[in-house]
Amino acid sequence: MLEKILFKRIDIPGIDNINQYIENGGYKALKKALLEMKPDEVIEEVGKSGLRGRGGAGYPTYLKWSHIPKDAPVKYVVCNSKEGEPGTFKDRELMDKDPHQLIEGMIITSYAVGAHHAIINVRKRFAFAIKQLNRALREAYEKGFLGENIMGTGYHLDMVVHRGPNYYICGEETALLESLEGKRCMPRVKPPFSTVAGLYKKPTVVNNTETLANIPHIIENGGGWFAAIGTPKSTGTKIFSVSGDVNIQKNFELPMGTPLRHLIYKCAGGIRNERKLKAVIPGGSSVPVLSASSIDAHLDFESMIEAGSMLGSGGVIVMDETRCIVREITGYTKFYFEESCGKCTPCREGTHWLYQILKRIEEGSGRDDDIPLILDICENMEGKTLCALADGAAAPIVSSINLFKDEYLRHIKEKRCPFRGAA
Amino acid sequence: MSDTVNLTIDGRQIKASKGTTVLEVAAAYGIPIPFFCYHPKLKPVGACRMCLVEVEGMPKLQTSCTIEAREGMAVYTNNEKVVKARKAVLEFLLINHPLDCPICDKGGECPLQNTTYTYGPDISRYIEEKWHFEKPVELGPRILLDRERCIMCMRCVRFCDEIAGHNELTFYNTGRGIEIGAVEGKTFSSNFSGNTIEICPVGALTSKSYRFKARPWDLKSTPSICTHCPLGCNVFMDSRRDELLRIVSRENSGVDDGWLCDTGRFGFENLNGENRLKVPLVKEEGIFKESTFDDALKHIAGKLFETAEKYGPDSVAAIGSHQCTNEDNYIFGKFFTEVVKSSNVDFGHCSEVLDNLLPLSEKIRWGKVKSLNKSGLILIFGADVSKLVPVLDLRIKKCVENGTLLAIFNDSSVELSGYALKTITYQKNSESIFIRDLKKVLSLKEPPIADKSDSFDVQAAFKFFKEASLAKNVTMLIGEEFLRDAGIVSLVELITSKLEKGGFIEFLPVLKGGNTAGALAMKNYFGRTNNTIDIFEGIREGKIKALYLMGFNPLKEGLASKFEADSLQKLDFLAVQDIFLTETAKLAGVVLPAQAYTERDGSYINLERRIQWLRASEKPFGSSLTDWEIIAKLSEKANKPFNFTSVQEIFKDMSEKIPEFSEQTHEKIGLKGTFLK
Repeated sequence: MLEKILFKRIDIPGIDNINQYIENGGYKALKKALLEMKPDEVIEEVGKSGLRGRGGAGYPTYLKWSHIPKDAPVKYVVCNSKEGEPGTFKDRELMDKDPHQLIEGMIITSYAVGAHHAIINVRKRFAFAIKQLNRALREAYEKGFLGENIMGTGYHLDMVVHRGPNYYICGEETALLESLEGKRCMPRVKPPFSTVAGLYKKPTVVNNTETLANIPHIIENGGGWFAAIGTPKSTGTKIFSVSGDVNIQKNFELPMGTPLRHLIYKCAGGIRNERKLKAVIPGGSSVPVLSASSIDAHLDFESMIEAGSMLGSGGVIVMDETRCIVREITGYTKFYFEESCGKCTPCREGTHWLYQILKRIEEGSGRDDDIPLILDICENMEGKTLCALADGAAAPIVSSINLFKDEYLRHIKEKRCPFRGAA
Repeated sequence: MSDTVNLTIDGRQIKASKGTTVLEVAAAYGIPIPFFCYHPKLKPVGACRMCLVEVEGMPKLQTSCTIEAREGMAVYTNNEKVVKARKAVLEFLLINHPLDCPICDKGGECPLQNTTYTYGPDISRYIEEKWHFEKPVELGPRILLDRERCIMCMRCVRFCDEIAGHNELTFYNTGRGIEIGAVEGKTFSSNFSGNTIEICPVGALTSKSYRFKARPWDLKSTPSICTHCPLGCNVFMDSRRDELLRIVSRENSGVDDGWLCDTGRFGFENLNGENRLKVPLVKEEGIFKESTFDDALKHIAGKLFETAEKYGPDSVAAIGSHQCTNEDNYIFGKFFTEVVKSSNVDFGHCSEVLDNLLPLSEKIRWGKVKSLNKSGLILIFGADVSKLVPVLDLRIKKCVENGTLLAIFNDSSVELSGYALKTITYQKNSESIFIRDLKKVLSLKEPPIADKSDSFDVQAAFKFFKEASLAKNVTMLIGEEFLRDAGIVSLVELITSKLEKGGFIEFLPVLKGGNTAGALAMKNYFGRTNNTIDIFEGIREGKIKALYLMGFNPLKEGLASKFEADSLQKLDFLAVQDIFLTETAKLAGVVLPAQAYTERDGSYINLERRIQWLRASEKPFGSSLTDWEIIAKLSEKANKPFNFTSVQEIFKDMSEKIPEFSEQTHEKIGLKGTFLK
């Protein structure tokens, strides 16, 4: 098995200290980038690596960077460390344990796009990560990796940690920027995209924590090295946060394209209590559900779409045979109804409506025409809103009805949840 | 690059100017696209999703309020996909909406109701319990919020942030529980709060006073104007059975841009208060006794002519008002100069400014409100525009937002200071010193050296005018205190000489009162000497024995310091015609009830010399008469009857006699007003 990239140093004691980090090869990539490479060469190298955004959408990272106008006087690099997607907990571990890896990646990114201000936007609740990052930033300033004239190159960069609201929607790129500006977290109209008019209407790169943490390794080892890992279109490794009914619930870093079976049965130690697998949500709660029959699907952007879902954030939620799918989906829908920002009509009203219907079905008051109604509401929400929250709310519902329609119908017919014993 | 783009909407070939949104283009071509959150004066947010359209080549439906028309674009506003999405959005909007249209103020003029009739589903599939909020919530002193009716178009919040700049409203909670509310620790007390009722596309925001009073279809809308300040915002006065119930905006882009201040919108509510005069009052042994017009006017005529005979016609003085119509002031001036033959006649409180205003208007152009939009630089001398001409404040804020530079010269920090590139503050009541010293600064070649004795920051002023010299198109708003000082003319000339040639340079006087420009025109016509200040001097000296006041209240706050109450006590006879029993009226021997601006017709002139027509919208209060009617009746009692039977007749006479009014007709004025020569 291939060695790890992001988690390579994660278990070294004291790696969160800058000296230990440097001793283990840290900030080597920064030196290489700043002293030996031009900004465009950095972008080119990242282009060669084929790195795609790890936040969920999988947009090519170099492409996003190259949209930043070269001549803009003020630009920003923002790290999206909100990590609100249910079932995802990878960024937190990266920040808690190896904060310098992220900071190094952000300095290189800022250098590549010509930004002099970088912001790590962390949700307030990640108190330890915030503490770690702030300490690491101080160390980086002391070593001269941040501030004026970094390593004698004349390049200057300031980086701060911003404690952002805990709301789920604040992880949406434009809502995150709104919150940075001190406004209420609500997605903006796109276009203009953040790369043209982002933070304070200035060109802004917003990347996910995991994406940025990959940058030092790509610079150090070359884009070609990174591209050789994983599949041709989904390169490198991916951290999968496995939760639910498995024996080992934790983050696993695996090359892109690893079979789902390997992740669940080898890495996570299989299903708890020797039970049978029922369903998997492979990319955080906003992607379509897969049934046990997809166990041999591969974990990369393309294969997951082929299997009928999405790689998303890599939050793998595993459900065993004892789980009531209606109950699970009702739970997620409640989350989306509570976390909808309330701006777009279909999302604000639709998530609440869906939650009420699903709750009713689970509680034994389902009606015969509820299923077509749910599907129609979902259709009326999908693709009709500013951001992807409504799509994320609809995806698990629609897919679970497609895969487990019988279970929904049993709820309606028997007027009770079949998993909760006799009514 | 061409400024127009060609696109098709529903197969129709359409030309649009670059930068316009698909929604605006469609509207211009009469292609209907429904919307709620879009408002032509607010930035698009794409929140309600009502205006979704299909654009060829784009997988998802697009909000037409946010996408710009592009060359070669093919837009579909009415295909199956769009129709379904629209129905869906309306269904979503209605599932938690209370549908209490039968008791809702907005019912009958409600965009949600209308749009549902046109595009909506006719049945609801919603069988769950509706979301409930306690209601209503008091957002501020004038506005109540019904959170159940709210559809989260955010127009009110955006209005506060983008137009009024007051940031008093915000959102609370998330998801379905989202609600509008006053910002923590604030109330929605902006002087523009009433506008949100009008732009609310549902009945969520209602006026405390109009709430549950009437249905729109029972109202008669009279196009009129507001007379509270010199801007003269255009309004509809909505009345039912001859009782005025509400005032709403009537957009005139050259005047009000569609907005009203709360003073203008709600001010009429105080008109029918306890203090309002119902019948003529004649004082007998110090106590007012109710009387009739016949008796009261006979009494007045007797007193006036008795005084004139005994002490000469100049012992009778008369002051009209900057709040009365031109017709009122004209007939008033005519009576006192031609019948009583007094030379002590004035109209309002500030005729002295004519001495500087007229020369000034020969040097630079008397401006237009609309020119502000094109101004690169706005200079405000003295006047607190936000208080004196509130709706003009909104226009200036918008100009600044669009890149106009603003400089304010005032004795204290004002609301617009926050928008100004430069604010220069001088000491209170030292406008004359400021003008003198600023002229000195402007004549310098080198930057001045700051001195402790300077009345303002001379270096900053020097630097500012050096930089400002590059600005093209300049409008100067000049307050009363500045216009009273003779130095203003040469100051403006000096500033003009510093400015870039090529653009326009204009000024607008900012003077208190709804028809001050009209009052000044009357003063100019009837003789510029013997101003109100001189009249009061004459009273103090005992030369003036009788005084007739029409709509003028010298003891009113703000004027009281100039015209002391003591002098009025010295008079042998004081007659007052007004709508209220004011402090001044209480001193009078005879008080005559006049009609308020909601009850009568006539012309007003605003600060840009636009003549506009006031129209009656409710029945007169008590036995009150219009100001001009009272004077006409008085002329009968004086046996020199004016044969005017309507305000139009006076207007015609006026336009024949006064050069500035020549060629003006009632038809020309129309609904939008026209400019004086």
